[in-house]
Amino acid sequence: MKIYQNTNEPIYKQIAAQFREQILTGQLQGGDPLPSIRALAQDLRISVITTMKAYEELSAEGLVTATKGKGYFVNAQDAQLLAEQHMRQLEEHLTDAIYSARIAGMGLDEVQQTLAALWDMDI
Amino acid sequence: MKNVIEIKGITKHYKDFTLGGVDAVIPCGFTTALIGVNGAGKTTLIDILCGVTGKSGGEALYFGEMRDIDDPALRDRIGYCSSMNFFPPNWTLKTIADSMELGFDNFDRARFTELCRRFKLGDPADKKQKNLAKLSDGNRMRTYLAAVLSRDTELLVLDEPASSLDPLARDMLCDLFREYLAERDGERSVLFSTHNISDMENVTDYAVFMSHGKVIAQGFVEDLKQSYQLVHGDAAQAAKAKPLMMTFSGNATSFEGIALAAQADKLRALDTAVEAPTLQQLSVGLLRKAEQDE
Amino acid sequence: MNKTLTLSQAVKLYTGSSIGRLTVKFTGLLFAQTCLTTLIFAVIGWAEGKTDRISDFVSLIFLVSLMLAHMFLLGGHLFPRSVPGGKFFRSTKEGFAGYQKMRTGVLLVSILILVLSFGGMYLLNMAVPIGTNAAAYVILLIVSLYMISFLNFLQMLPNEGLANILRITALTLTGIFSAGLFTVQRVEWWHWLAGAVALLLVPLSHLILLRHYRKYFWNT
Repeated sequence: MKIYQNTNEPIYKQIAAQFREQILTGQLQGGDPLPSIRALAQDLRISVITTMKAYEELSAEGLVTATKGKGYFVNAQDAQLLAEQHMRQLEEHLTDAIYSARIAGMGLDEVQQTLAALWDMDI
Repeated sequence: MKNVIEIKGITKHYKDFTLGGVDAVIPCGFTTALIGVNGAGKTTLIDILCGVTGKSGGEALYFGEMRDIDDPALRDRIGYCSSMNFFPPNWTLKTIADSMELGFDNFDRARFTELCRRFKLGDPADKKQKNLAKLSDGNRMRTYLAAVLSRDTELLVLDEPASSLDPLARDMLCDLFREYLAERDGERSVLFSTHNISDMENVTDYAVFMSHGKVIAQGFVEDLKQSYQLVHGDAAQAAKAKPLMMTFSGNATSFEGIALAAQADKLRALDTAVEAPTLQQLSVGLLRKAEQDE
Repeated sequence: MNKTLTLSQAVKLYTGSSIGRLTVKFTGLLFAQTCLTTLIFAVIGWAEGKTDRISDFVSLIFLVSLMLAHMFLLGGHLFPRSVPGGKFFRSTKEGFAGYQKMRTGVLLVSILILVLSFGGMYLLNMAVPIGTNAAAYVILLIVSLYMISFLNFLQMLPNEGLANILRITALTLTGIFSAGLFTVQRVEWWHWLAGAVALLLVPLSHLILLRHYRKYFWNT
């Protein structure tokens, strides 16, 4: 987990963002436990309230649930939601690609050809 | 949220200093910092909470169920340590181990030996023992910490533990707190006092600010950082900004201070930089304001 | 585990030493010093042919040394909060109860020293003819018991300077008037009565002192 201590972005938001990504990309599945708030605080060398706040934010978004005495667990994610998340990412990446294509002076046909070639490769 | 200590109206009258009434809560499962300048009453409050000094009035509720600090069962659950002269200077690791064993039910000699080894203090079982007086301040404090951490307690109460430690050792102290809390996840708490919070910021969950014997503010650090904001600006805006701020310090070129979050929008409209303060900046602001108000 | 401290454990907690060790240490010192003095005076006395007054000097020195030993013993185990270790002791599980046991243990040591020393002196008297009779020892023992109670009561004086003056005065008076004690040939009934009172006064003064200490010094 990558945390920037000295930027303006609150640490708890950074932690929440990284877990959020892991959950929405399926790296963390429904039912998976999150590290305990104190164990995570110990590993990241930050305060317990920071990890707790990060988890609370995720919980408010419906991504995780706190089970009394057992800690936080990932909620089974809506397949639709996951798909939407990935579609958004696709759009973002495609926008970047179009931007790069314009700089390189590539036309739509050339871009589509490159896409087709990559699609067939084993990624 | 459970509280490990609820303090109601605790007072103590000395000839030239009065503590109180102190009203505060120490939340369970977290690290709480008691912040104030020297002479604010932190040591007196901590000593009273641990039964080392008697109080003149008020009461404290511990672990949600115990009220009498003279109850041996309660004392066994609390791990108290002062920063200086905690043990007599002619004591050695061995005498400390012997006395700790007699003084409490939950002292673990094996753990003490292990901590002494980890802190590079020596071996309590050695034939030749060194007097505490011969150690440096830092090593003496480490010895005290080794002793108190060798007990299986539920509340660690340390009076200025960081004062005699260098930055590296303070960092280690932060790790020790996290380790202590994680070992009994949620059931242990730490309370420590300090006059300089900067090295201990990233382990502090809850802060209680004291000035002139009273509590002037308290809260979870994340909440405090949202309730109070750090404001910077140019001298040109100083006059307009000052009435909106809680503390203010300015010179010919710029100004800076702490303001309540409610004023943040108005302050931003004046073309100032408004951001969350560090706990250190917040402490300075709150304590300075308390001094001015006195 | 719900153990409470024994007297000896309480003493060990505070001093790192046990009741036995403290007794041996102080009695040993006292006895060694008295033997030395006896020897010196015996030699002087024999040299000058005045063997009948040796015991007076020896007993006088013994009594004064005993008083000093008790002052150091009883006064040296106070452990106020301001002294290093004071806060640790006050945070222990038993708190004042443990302190009380330690002080009682130290008092026990002082009584033991008294008994052993007098026993030792009596044996010395038999081994080296210095002319004191058994009656004088009984009187001296009774006086010593009163001295312990007296020292206990002195500790309750708020003015430390005054307390010290009284201690020195008591030492001096004992020195001056003890001579008269040695001429006693027989223990009278009222001596025994005074002795019984002295014996009762010791634990009484101790308890009163501790209650006073708890109220005014322990936690303030």
